Amino acid sequence: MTVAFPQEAIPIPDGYRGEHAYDIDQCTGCTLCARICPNRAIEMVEAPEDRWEAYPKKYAQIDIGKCCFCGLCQDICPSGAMTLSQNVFLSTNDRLSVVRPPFAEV
Amino acid sequence: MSSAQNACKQTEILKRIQLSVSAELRIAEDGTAWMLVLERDLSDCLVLAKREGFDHCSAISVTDWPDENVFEFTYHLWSYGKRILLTVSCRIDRRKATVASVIPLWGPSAGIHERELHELFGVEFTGNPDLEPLFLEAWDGPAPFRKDFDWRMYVRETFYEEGDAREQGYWD
Amino acid sequence: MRVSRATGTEIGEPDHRASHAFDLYFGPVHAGSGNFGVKLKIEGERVVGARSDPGYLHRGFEKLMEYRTPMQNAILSDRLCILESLNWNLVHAEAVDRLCGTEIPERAQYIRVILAELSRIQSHIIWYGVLSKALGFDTGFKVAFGYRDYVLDVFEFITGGRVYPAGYLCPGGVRHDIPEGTKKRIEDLLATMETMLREFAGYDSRTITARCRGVGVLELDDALRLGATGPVLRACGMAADVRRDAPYEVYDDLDFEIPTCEEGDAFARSIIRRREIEESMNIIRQALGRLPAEPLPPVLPKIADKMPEGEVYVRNEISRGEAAIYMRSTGESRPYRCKIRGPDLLHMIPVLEHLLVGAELADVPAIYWSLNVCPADMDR
Repeated sequence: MTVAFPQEAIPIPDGYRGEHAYDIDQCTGCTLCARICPNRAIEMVEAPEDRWEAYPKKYAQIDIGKCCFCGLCQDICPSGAMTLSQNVFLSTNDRLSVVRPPFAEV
Repeated sequence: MSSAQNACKQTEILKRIQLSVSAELRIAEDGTAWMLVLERDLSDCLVLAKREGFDHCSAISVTDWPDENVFEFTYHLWSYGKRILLTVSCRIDRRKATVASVIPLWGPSAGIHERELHELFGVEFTGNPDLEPLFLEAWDGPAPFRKDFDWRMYVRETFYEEGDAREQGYWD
Repeated sequence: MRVSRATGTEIGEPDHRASHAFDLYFGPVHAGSGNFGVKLKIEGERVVGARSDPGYLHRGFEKLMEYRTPMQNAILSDRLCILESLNWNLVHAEAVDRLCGTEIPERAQYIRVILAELSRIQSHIIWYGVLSKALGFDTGFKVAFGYRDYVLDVFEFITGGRVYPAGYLCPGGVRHDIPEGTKKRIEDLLATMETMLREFAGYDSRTITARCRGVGVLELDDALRLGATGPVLRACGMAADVRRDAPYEVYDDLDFEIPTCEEGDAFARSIIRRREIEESMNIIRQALGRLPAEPLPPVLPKIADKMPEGEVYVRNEISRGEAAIYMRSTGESRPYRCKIRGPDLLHMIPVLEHLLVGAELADVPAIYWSLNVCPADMDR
């Protein structure tokens, strides 16, 4: 059960609740995820001005510092845009970088 | 004995208590018994319950109904021998919430619940020798589990900063 | 009469100066005693007074649950006592189900029982590990936590989290059906658990026996008066178990024994927990054999999940004793009052203070950990 990480790693099973994989093109802006989150970790924010035409609604900004990785947002999302991946490598030294805006800086 | 005979015996015991103190008795679908008594009959009802074999005080709880100005005390009692769960509930005036302690009946197992309720709801239990604070340290505010204590506002004002980017959302 | 030049008192007389008795804090360092302290009054090597100091883990669960809907509360219920999170998931799920009158599909009931028993096994393994650690038996600690890892791997496979199952046992059944291959993994796990139990039995001739026999004896009438439940009460000779006395889920269809002992000492409690691991394995095997085949749809969360008006008091047998939730609803989607009764409020304050008075200082860890305390469900 003990391996020489990072050369080896114990495989993480499929159903593991890790970091969010938010597919913004599938998102309909219904805000169900923001309302079901028990920790109020999801906030619906507008797109930057130059993307308003393609993305007219509000989209999910996830604060993984507040998130408890319960997966209720994944279960309630009607379009499958919000899913949890198996990524568990989320440690950081930057306190504000735990807020994941829906539009990454280009 | 068969389960039908057992159920009969259980109902007998409950009815005896109910008639003695003129309580309202309701038996729920899952077999648990719920008895509502008046404040003046509470002590008699609990003494009678103990005598009828309710030897385990599972929990004592208080529910705050500020609109009706009552605290509803619920005593959840279990009988190991007869296998019945009885909840005795009683509505006490919120402004002078004092009941007699049930330590003489169930010992420290009830006393510790009373101590917790005294701290969190501010209710008095006469005859309980130990009502020292249990969980909170150096707390001089109002009893925190009462409905009129705005918990979220207290937490927000004491611990959160409005200027912090991640805590902004709590001020909406 | 001779007088000591140093102290001025007569030699041969006991010295009644107060400095012979002192206050010793046992805890609240997490590694030593969990998030909980006991203030001991010691005279020489003997404990003459004990006062529990709870509250380090008080999070106000009863209030937190008033602000959340049933599904969100299910997520929160893991954290009532993380050492047996699935058991507390089950207590909460049953409280909401009984309040709402929901019918749970039989397959979900069997899955709930299997996971609750796995959680009980895992909790008893933790107990064995920390008891060994506290007694200085470091091998037992490392071996126990090693074996616990196998159980956590199964939890990760089924629920998606090793320690936090995120309300897997939720109101309405289970959040999603068990994945393909679970049955084989659990059967392999049970074989590993058998090896583990043989290993633990092999350690019995050493530290655990020497330091636990005759220590912390609890008489039956004291146990009842002080409110002990679960293995602590069963070690005094009373066969009381909520799974037998007021069966829930499918426990009345399953065949299992309730181990009891007569001595009431720390060693008796130790024996009972190890036998309970065996009984849990027995229950899991039966449940796996009887698991209905029809697949379950996932239970999805809803934004406004209104609960009908009513009140309910649900008791369960978790690994530490009797756990209960009193839930009162006024027709809203959030409970109006949610009173949580954990076994440890009784074990860590009345029972512990009673057992520690008169004990030797060296026996304090054995007594403390033989009660299998969990500060989390005491403080809530």
